[in-house]
Amino acid sequence: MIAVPVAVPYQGDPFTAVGLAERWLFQTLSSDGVMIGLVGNRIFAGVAPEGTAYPLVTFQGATGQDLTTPGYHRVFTTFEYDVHCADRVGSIVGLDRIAARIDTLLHGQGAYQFPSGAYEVSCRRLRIVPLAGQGAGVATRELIQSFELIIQEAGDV
Amino acid sequence: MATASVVVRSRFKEVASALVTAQTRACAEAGRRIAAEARAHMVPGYFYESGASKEQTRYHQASRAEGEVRIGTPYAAYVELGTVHMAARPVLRPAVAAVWPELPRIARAACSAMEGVRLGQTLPPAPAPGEDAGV
Repeated sequence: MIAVPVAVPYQGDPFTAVGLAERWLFQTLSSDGVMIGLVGNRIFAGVAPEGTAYPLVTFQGATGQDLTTPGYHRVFTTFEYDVHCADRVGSIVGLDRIAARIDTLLHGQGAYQFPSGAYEVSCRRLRIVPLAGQGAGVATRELIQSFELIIQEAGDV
Repeated sequence: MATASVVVRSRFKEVASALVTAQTRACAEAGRRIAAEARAHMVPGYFYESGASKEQTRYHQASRAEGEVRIGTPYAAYVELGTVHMAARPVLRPAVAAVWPELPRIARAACSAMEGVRLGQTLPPAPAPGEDAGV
């Protein structure tokens, strides 16, 4: 039997909106069988360690904004996260397939409730941008998908 | 004999023209604010030492209803979005987020100039399409 590598669990703070958003992103991407088949355990919050093999997936936050009522009740927090997938130019895995799987897993997800039951997350894709790159002398291609994540207390309207 | 009359005249043409001017002004004002905000986010260090990005951040009035804030350096997209091996240093998106709550006020201010149409005044011109505004 071949052991399937499992991504290292995300270590972010589970009690902040940022931690919740990143934990949800990481768990959603790394617990999917198709995704594991495409990139193995190479899913990282932030940037990938030097020398990591391709293809790989990373995600980084770009913005975050609270919506509060005049009484300072926080209704929800909106984030924009960029999910990058990168591969060598001409790879047989196919960057488009990885990007499509990321989109399937994240876009349109709504009312996901964390195991604690206290928060919900909803997510939609805003845009996709292709970029040419270079990693350790290897020509690479990246597809960057920006997602809007909304984290709110469960049951809040 | 002394007659009395009321003249009824459509000012639709002037109002429509003023509306287009107002939307162009609102668009330009929002774009300039976003460009200024983006430049303010470019604090020295990590890609922003030389000041080239700051210098090349411009608002461009593309048409009467559309403008573009552009950072002209060739590496701007990489800095804004990051890569799998490099952390992003976004300035455009935080700038949009900062200006976003002010858009209704900017639109109201631009539309308030339409009051001049009712008073028969000539409105100052809006930025022309194709105009590049650095500030």
